[in-house]
Amino acid sequence: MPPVTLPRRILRSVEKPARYVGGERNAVRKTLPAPGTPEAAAFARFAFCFPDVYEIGMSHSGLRILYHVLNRRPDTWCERAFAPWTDMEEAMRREGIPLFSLESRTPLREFDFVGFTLQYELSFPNVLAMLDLAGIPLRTAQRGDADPFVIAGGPCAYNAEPIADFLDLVVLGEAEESLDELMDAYVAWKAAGGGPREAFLARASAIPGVYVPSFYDVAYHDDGTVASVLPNRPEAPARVRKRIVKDLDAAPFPEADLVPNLETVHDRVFLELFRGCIRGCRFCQAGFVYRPVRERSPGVLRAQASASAAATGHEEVGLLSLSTSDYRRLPELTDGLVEDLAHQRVNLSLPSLRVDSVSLELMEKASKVKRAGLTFAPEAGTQRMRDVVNKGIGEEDLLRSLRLAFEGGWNGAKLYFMLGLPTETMEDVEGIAALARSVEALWRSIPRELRLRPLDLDVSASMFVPKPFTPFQWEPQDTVPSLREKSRHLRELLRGSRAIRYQWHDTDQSFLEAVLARGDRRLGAALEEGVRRGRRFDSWDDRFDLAAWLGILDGLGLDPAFYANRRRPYDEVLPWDHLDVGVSRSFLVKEAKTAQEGDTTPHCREKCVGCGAAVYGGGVCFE
Amino acid sequence: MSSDRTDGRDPKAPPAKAPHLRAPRPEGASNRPNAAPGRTMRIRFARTGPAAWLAHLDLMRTFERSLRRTGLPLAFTQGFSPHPVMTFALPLGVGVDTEADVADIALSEDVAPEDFAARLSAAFPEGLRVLSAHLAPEGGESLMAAVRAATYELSGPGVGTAAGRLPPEGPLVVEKKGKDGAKPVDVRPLLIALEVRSPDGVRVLVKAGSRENLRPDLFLQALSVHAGLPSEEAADAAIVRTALWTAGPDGALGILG
Ligand code: SF4
Repeated sequence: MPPVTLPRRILRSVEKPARYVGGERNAVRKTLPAPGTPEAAAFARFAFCFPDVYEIGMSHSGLRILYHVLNRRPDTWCERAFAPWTDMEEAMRREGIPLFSLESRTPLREFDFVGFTLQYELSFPNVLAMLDLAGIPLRTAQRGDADPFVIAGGPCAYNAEPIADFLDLVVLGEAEESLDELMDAYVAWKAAGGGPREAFLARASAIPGVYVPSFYDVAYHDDGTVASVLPNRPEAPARVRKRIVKDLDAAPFPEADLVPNLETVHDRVFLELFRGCIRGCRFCQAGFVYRPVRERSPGVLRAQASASAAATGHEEVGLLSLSTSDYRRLPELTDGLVEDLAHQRVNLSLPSLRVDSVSLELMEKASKVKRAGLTFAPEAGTQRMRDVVNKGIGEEDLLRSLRLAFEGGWNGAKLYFMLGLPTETMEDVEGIAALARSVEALWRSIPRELRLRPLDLDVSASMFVPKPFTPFQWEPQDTVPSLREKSRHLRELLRGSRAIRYQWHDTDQSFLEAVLARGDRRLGAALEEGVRRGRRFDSWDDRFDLAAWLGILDGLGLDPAFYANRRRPYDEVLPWDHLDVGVSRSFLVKEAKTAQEGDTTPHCREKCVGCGAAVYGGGVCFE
Repeated sequence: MSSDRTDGRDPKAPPAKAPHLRAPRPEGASNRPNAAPGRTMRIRFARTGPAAWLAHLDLMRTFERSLRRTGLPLAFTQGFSPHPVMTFALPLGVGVDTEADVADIALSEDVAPEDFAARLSAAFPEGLRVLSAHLAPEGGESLMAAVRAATYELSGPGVGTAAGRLPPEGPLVVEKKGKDGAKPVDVRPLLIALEVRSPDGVRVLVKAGSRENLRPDLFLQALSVHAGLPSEEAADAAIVRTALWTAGPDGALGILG
């Protein structure tokens, strides 16, 4: 089939047509081997899809890394596709244009692989909408031998069960290596003549970290809980363990990274200082699923920064990691980067640094390059609550850092909190307001001549969503009315200060997110129905409609509270128990109990508490 | 798939970007560029293909990054976020190709124009190309203020025929859609010359620049409203800017750049 043609009248009628035309610097174009040749039989086309708009998808470092990993293979061409905004989708449906790749405008259904990165649960409906727009049968069971293999990865792949019926393959963990192995297996299989889909899936399921959902049967108890998830084929392992890249210095990095057409959310060179996090905040999925911590050395990072700035022309380099201040050689790195980048007239933007180690020195250094806003994440308003979630910072730490910042000329900060954390009471909510007021009081204590502008304090609250593979995976989510009441109360308490701005995340969205995050395969029918009824871009708060989703769930006899608001006993089989992130279930139970006691747990560099991630034989566990 | 936050925060919230929080400026900071006098390169460039769909601000960002990729000695603005110093003669509409646009780029050291052109062309993304480069004359009118007129070639089924059917005189009112709704605009006084090239093509010379400017899509709309070109064809027509004009010393139009 020839490439899709995009009439000018369509591009002229939609918002931001540059989303749909490709042609970016460093986008990869390849010449396809002639049909019928042995090269063509051993060539794979991969469409990397991000189930959100271009500007969000192009900000994502995983996409850029894997684009590079796949395209450096001579036998593979990886192209991109993003979710068309609703105006474009309407136009495409009207004109009969199927979803296509940006690089060659090839319809997605002609690819060997259509891969999705699952960054947030509320993008699941968009995954199905993109498959539908591509003309690819939604359910794996409906796909034929000519259809692409639909594959997914990313943080939500650790529980992709709600969309498992639509995915042929799931890669667990960091995909740099497993994707290469998967492509090797695919190209070999295809060159040998291919065959029925199941034959390839069987081969794929033997690759560590590759999960084939259709090879597992889920049985349920009468009360709706999962009874078992068992392999139905001999090739499928009983448990699939995530993959990691042991040596980050050797991990592939896209120096000649894609340069987006449109301003994106993270429009800069990204440097990944390390993966994982030593901290173990109990609400944070990333803190557990990316274990163990592995660092990249400053020399490698500096070389990457300079080379990438030169190859992309980006005016800014940003540091990417879960908790940048935990990078052991941060001063050495920032010194080096400041020096290197000044020559290239490139800014270094420092991300939020941990409040207990923000140093005046580092801030001064940043002032030579670029100073960004300050963000802190105390997460909770009282020490009791912070101990429950294992956020090891105190109010004094925060105030000390802010004093340094205010004396250094900053006039504001952004403070992140969560509402609805396990064991939270109204007193904890009030603690958030009290903390914000203390910051205000601190500001007033700063000498007037240093306060050149009025204080500007953002207090931002998100709603706690219990996630798989965290110590809180058994916890009920706080109900929507209770979260609303807490948020309303906090707003009242913060009212009256012109310096404080209160922002909160939508409670309705957090509820559906909680349903999907710990959902099982029965939710697939709801997603399918939602997409049929036109649900799109549910992660955009102005597009989200909880009532519509509740109607759909109700129509299918599914109870959202069963997934979101129910306390699960420790011995219940969880929908993701056949998946393994290295951190053991027994460790998570122990952490859950420690949390209930209000006790904290030391981080990996204080004391290894034997979480299980040492099975990977590297990183912080062996420092 | 590596280390993005998964703790339930809004995935779209930029973590370390709070534009309303201004950090202090170091002493002596200003936005004055370090351009040397007489070191401004004037280029003519073409754009087509995917690059034609960039809005003006995106095109400027694309230019900036392309310039940075060349590694040439550019003049930068001072301050926390140094940017190359560039001026464009006339913004290009989204979906408009050009064969004749002009931009000035300030340098900090001498560069041979041919080198400049070759290196910038090589650094551009798909669809952008430097046609020629020379040193801009010193002093005089700014590039933007110099623009008086532009030539566009418009093509598509029936576009030329429709242009031939336009009434020879009288107002040609169309609706210009803006932020606060549609406003009627008379295209006639902005139209300098019109040449039907084929049944499917027309070349128009129109007023352009910061004082008076006719957007080519409004002319296409006039063809649809006043000469029966189906509006779908008007929306689908190819638009290429083929020349930018300035006023010469005698007042006659001369090619800009
Ligand atoms: S095994 Fe120990 S050091 Fe390794 S990640 Fe777990 S707690 Fe940290």
